[in-house]
Amino acid sequence: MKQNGLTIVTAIDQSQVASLDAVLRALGNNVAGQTQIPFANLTRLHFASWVVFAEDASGPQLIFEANFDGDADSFLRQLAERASAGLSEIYRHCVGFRADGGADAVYQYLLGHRVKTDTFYVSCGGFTLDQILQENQLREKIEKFLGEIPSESDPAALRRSIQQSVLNDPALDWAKQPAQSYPLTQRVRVRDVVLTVCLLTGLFGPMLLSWRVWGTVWPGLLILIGAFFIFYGNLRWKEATDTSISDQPVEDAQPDSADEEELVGRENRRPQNHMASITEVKPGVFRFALLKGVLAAIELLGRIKYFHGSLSGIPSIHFARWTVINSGKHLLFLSNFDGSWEHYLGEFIDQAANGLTAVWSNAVGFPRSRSLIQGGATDEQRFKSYARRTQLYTQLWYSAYPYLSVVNIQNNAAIRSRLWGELPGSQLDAWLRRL
Amino acid sequence: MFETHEIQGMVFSGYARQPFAAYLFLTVRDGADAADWLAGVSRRITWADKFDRERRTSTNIAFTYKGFARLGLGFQTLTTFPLEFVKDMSDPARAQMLGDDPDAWVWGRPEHRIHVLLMLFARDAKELAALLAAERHAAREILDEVQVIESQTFPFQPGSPMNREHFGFVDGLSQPDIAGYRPEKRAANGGANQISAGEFILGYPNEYFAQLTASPHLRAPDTDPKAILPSGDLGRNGTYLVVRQMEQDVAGFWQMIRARCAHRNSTPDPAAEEAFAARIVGRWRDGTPIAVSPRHDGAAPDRLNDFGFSQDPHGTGCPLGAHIRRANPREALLADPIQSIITTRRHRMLRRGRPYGPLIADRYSQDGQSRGLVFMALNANIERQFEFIQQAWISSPNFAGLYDEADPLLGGRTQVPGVFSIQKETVRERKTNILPHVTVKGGAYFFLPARATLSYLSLRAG
Repeated sequence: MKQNGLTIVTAIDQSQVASLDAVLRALGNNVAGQTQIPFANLTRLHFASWVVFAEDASGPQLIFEANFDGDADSFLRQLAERASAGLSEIYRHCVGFRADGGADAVYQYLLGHRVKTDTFYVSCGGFTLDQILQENQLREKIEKFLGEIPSESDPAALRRSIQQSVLNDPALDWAKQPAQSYPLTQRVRVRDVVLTVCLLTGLFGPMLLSWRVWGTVWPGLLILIGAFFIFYGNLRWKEATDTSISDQPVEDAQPDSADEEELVGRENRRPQNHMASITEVKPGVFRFALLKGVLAAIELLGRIKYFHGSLSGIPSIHFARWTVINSGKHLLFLSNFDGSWEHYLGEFIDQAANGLTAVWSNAVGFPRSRSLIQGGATDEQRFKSYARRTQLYTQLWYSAYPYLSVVNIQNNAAIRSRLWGELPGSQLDAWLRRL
Repeated sequence: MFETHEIQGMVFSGYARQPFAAYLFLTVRDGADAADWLAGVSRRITWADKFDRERRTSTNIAFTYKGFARLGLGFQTLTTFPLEFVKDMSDPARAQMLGDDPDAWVWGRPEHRIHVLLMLFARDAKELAALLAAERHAAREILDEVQVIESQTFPFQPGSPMNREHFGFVDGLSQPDIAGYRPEKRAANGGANQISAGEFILGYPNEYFAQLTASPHLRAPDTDPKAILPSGDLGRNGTYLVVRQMEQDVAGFWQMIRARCAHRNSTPDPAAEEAFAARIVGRWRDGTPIAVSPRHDGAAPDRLNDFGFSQDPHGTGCPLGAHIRRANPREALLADPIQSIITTRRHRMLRRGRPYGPLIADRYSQDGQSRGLVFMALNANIERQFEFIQQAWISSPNFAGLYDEADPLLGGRTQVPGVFSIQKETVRERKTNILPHVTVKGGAYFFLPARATLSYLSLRAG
């Protein structure tokens, strides 16, 4: 089953910001103990967050992020039915919400305020929440079994006894079946095909046209090359002249210490962390279109190539997204990741600086880029300062499996997928090493 | 290339010829009265241009954030220090990150009044006592003593050039080499161990494309009328010093090992004990990496720091969660060795730790003495180096794809007692009920200033 994301942006009543902030923080500081939003009953929800964005002149907003199995509509219905009290408590601070309308009002309100997600990244594509939890339970039970039996030196016999222990456990009945597959057909959208056709038309159309008109591709090719140089020259000129944090000495670029202190204080309560940020998109059609194009390309790569536990070599992002909100004014980034903020940003720079720079160089103030993908995030300290300065405090954050890393989830899935049948020697050893 | 006359000696040297040390933690009564003392102590500091094989003693100095504030740096200037230095190690957010419990500390808690750390080194106990007495005399009426920790190094064996820590292992082997410093002496560990100087000294290019790490600067209203500091740079040729007192329960550690390794009839199995302890640390007691020699010690005296884990991706030689593999994953952090080296080079520290307390007579018997390690690490960016290593590697429950395990030697942010997996050719051996026998007793972040910074402070205070 496919994982999907919802981003819901609602306007907060100006006079209610402090009150909403307090409500969300109270829930967020006691996610496991609170009962208003029964997260454990939301059987398809992997991660969720609520973040208050109150720094823009156009008025405060509440951003809700959900990452879940299956389609958005039925998820929203389940959410509204099972958490309507808590959601009403939250959304009564927002403009246009009817607090007395019950589950249906919650559902309608949320549905009405959803925004399109430009780039949605899922590291463990196709893995449902049930599957992730079950496969971890399977591994834990096998670990327990291995702790109880005398040591067994023959790998094949050991594997057989593990298989037998799974067969003997009725609670592991599900493990006799393979996990649902996640075929390409689920990962590709109609939009992808349309976009590809448009792109190809843009690239080859002028040449075909000139072939038809003049009997040679050269005029079309020259038009394309000319268009590219106009684009590239424009980009380089903008890159050289845009205001940037790079114009400041490193010491002056540092984030406000009180803000940073608040952000750090929220982090590292468990092995996973959350990051929300809003940056301002550089004005003008050029940057807007470029940003949208880059986000569409990364979105496609994520679904076609990077759905097996790592994004461009980064093995620690569970769910992440970028989306342009507020009519092109703001770029929203939300990420649920393993390890610390410092570790996460370090991975960005060490392994994915080009892609990040291609996205964020379209935002006001980002470290200066060159040719879209160079420079930018490689300016380590200013990049981290920029990231902290544009980060928002996550008031309420939920993870359904806070103790599991992406690597753990992938390993659990590999244990399950090769649990049955005969394995030749080297593969047998490899399988046993996963335990 | 190095302005050695400006840099304190301990950046380049562990002062191996001076086995006796005293760490004197001081509080400044009134910053305005400290000028003469600062000027005097500045003349007694061991600078890196005056390394002399015949030198009998060494003296180095470092300050906390509170110390800089007490000595009169203005608020605007103080804000140019990084947040972790300002907040200090015991800050709740830092403690959460590091897996610490500062409420249980005996020093360094948030209300601490440590301003200055004087580090004194000598060849013998008598010389150290004289040095300590002289510094105490110089500080009288101006600074009060908060505490003193005395330290003595122990050779691994009589006559051995290498030192041991209290559990019995040779310590301090994995040190980065500072690129460009005495290259003729440092080639032995291979190029991957040559780390840019800016990782350890402010004002020099660092591992991120030779950029300069942020350095504290003077800000108005602070001025430097005599132009002592180059462009108002307070940090140049200085660095951050992380200090942690880590108490070691030696008998508890070896009793745990013995109980875990005993024969079926409960008689001890010394060979198995050595092998298990070696898996926890990642080295045999003589320093031999088990990644190089899985079966026995003494095999590779020339490869104590010249080795990697890429021949051992599954941890069947050196366990994935062994202490030295967490502290420095070398080229096996990620699937790609080159990418791993790029990343691990950005998270290294110079270690200058020394043991405190007496050696235990019988490693299995409690003797009521307190002993451990005064962990000291030099780095230009505490958050990216010390804190990162402690959090992302040492205490991470998911390090190297493990489940809910912490460093078997130091512990971490998991439940106690914990688990330690020893990977095998087939299924791993999973040791449960692992208790860390190292307890942090205190800690703080210091700054080790350059000569110019010290001169500036002394002029300012007056």
